Amino acid sequence: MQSEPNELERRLEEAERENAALRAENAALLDSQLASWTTIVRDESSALTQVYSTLSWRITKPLRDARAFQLAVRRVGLSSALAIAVARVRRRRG
Amino acid sequence: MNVSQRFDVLAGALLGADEVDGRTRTGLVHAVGAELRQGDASHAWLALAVLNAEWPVRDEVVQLRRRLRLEDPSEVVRELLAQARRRLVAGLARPSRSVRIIQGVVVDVHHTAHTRLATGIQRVARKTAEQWSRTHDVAMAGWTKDDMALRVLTSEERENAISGSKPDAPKPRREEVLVPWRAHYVLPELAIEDPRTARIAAMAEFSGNQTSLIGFDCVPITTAETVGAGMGAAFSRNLVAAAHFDRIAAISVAAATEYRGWRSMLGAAGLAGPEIEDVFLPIEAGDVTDAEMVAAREELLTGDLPLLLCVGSHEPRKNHLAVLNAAEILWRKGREFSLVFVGGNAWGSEGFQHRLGVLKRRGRPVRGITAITDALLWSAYRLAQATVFPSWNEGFGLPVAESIASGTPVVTSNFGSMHEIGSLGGARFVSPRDEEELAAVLDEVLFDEAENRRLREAAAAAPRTSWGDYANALWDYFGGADR
Amino acid sequence: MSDVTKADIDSDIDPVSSALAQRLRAAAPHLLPGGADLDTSAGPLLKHLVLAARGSRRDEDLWLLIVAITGRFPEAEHVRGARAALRHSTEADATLLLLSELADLARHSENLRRPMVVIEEATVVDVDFCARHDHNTGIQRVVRQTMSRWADAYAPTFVAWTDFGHAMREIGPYERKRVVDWGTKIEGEPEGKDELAALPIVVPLRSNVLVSEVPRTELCLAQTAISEFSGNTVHLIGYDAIPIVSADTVPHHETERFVRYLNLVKHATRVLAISDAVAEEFSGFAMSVTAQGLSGPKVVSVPLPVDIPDARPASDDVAPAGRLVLCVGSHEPRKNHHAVLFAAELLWNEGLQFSLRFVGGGSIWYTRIFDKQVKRLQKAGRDVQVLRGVSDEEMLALYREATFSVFPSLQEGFGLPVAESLALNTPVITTSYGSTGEIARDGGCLTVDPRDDESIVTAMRELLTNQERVQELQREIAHRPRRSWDAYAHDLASHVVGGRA
Repeated sequence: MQSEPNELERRLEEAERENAALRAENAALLDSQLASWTTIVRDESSALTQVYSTLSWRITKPLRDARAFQLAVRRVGLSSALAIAVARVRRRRG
Repeated sequence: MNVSQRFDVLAGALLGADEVDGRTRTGLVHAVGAELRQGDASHAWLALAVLNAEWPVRDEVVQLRRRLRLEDPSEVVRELLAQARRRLVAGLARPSRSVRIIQGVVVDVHHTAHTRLATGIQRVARKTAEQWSRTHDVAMAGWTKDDMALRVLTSEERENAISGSKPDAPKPRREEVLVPWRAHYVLPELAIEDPRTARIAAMAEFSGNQTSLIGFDCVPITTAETVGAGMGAAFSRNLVAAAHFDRIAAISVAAATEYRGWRSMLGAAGLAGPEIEDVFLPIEAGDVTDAEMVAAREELLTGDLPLLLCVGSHEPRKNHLAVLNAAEILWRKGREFSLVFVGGNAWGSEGFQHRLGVLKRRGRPVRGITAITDALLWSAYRLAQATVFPSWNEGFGLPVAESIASGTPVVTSNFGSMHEIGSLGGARFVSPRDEEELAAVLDEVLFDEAENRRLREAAAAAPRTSWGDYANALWDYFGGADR
Repeated sequence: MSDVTKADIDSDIDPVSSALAQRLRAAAPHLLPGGADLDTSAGPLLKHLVLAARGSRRDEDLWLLIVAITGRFPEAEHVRGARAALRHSTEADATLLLLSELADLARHSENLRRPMVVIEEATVVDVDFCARHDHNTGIQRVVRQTMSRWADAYAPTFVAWTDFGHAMREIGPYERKRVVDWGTKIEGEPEGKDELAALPIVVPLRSNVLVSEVPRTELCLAQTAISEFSGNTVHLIGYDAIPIVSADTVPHHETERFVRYLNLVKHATRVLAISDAVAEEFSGFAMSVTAQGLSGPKVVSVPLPVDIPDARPASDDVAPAGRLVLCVGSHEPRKNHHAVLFAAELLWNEGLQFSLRFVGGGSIWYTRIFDKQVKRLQKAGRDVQVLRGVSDEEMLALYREATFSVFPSLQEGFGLPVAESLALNTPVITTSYGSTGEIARDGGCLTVDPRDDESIVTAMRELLTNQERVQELQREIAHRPRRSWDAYAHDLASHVVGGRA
């Protein structure tokens, strides 16, 4: 009679220990899964941010101006577009 | 035609042919000037269009009116002639245009004259042109190379506008400009080129002509998230022109709702906008021979599996991702059926293509067919156990109409034109935003025999209408040349 | 303002992982009912959160989770994709499936290192442009006048968006001053890049979100998704629909930007229009979207104030030597300045004597032609000038001297030049319809049909030859009903703050 509670206690302790170990293992697996994902995502994200930051206004402004001029020619004709471009420069110079 | 000849045409129209004979040039200039001075904006519009062989834009008409007020009208006319001559000389490379003033009904089929496409808008424009040319005296027109004036079509272009059989018809070397005057201008297609829409707008606002157009939908402004860049601006300028039209024939009540909502916005710009009515597109199915059906069976069916058919391009608005997701729910439940998409790729199809690939790799009986003949398409409708069309927004859901006309049940969206068409019989409705609901309803329609039969009977009983009916209703609403 | 501490961002560990862990912990109390055990590492915590969102099947839970995982406010397609991924998942593979689905969104996220703060049942005001820029016309003036008053009365949470529009964030102290302290001299230095990068993401739940400006295009889809999925109530101040209705008077990109804004309008709960005319515009749009099975927003008119000066005497004590006609506003086709020039030329030809001053700059496309006309008239000896870059003092002096101002615009959302003219006791000739017509109804104005040159000529002739009429209008101005910025700010708040839609 005396040994049964001890046996149960022992099994309970063992089960709890096993449970804790499994939990920890599970947690470690989940952590590692998340860490892998984070690494992949972070590295690719850094690469992309580099690209974004080089698309600064300074670099693309000449391109955009050229494009705007192209569209202007289409809209009002070459001579008018040139006149407008000249007037713009004049105005900027004051 | 030189500028003097164009001037004679103008003088004839403004003063009357009898008044022109026997007058000196100077006398005519004076008379035309006087007529323009006391006339209204329509006369100014006419003068500019005829003398320049180009439809004017708004600013040009307004400016001419102001000059006539401030200066001696004869001097203004002389300057117009000088300007027209300068433009002619400047355009030395291209042959000078002749100008013809036209009355009666003019139908602008610029795109339709050069396209082989027979889907959506082009189909409506083509069928309208075809029917009207049979039963009424109408002129078909296109636009000049620079999109600045309406012009006569060559006979080949005219044929292609009606039948689609000559999409490579060459454009004319010499363009004959058309200037409608006390006429009725009809636009049965979508105009989106800036120079063209600006000139149609000015014509509608000032020329005094009757103006009517077919309203397909306002998707580029009401559902812009499903449209590529550029269309929003181009379409909005089309609407600016439409704001000055007399009437719009929307292709469904839903399309009419979109246009009426837009019309309410015009009050802020002090414009009343056009009359808007719905003239419903037809519910009509094409014929197929027994041989064609046999061939189609080979091509489209997978063993004994019932066929679920989805017709339409793969742009986001058609919501084909939801169809794939709903089908996957059913396949995972153990339902056995094949899914066939008939339609091409379009802007924004990548998401759909990716998911289609995933499901194919999983071994699902799903495929997409891009190129299809009419025979195969109409056979597909007849062979299908059901069709599905859960679009987010349609001016007129043609595949819904085609399915019902073919006697095949359709699962479609519970609002808009799809609901209007489906209510004729043979349809079940879902919220396209709810994939679980879509799956549940597809389940019933595909696998509940009694339900499928009930829907088939309802579809068979739905009223059919033809393109001839549509063209007549449209003509009546527009009022022909009698208004 | 935020309770994100340095300890939460432990930079000994990789900053991305630690920020992710912080965001997951910030989301946890809102996803896990009954306070779950947060004392776990990020991996198991994520699994709890995923299973909670998967089980609850509520859009707002999934939306919050996506923000926590990616640092981005998702767009509709991302939420739907995530929903589809979870639908066929088991408890065992749900986390991995969701991470796979969100990988693309995350790798394009600018906010992987950013912490987050969740706020509930708050009043959130999106002041993205005003917080980050010094520009101050039109929309910005409305926002700054209103928010400086809201700051004290309602203690709202002001937010801007991160650089690429990936998420809402707190604003820094200098940014806040740009919004609420604009009238006074702002002290201090603008925040540096690092300081801005450390500001946490703000995630509202069950809150009222007021979009006070017209947002940048790049964040429209994410902002729309807030309406559709996050459980927040979104309100917009509606300024106008000019890029649609008068699309031919604006550049293409402006219309392009505006149609994407309309997507946001379509899903919002309420639009607070700045005039009855604008309310009608947005109501019309709301009607259109019923064809898509959407109800569209409720539209309410909350008219902007027209500040009236205190007790200004009518100007019959100072009879001007000559008559000055003022035309204020940017030079663009919609403002219809050519019509004013035409009317003036006609009246000069009739023998009337007066000076005409145009004040305002504009795109050189348009002004080149306009300036040519002005030069022609100057050569003919007419007293007309175009003034650009005018100071506030000079502006005030011009209005005081002016007999009347003229503003026959083809379309306006409100018509600030009309309000300003009246505020400085100067009668206005303006458009009879739309928002300017509304302002005119309360007195001090003559109205015209801007498309009818004769109508403008008649009105100008009237005020140039009939001094009694001018004085009558000045008396009307003094008796106009008063509506202040205080009143406007209060009315706006009554629709947004506190109550739920």
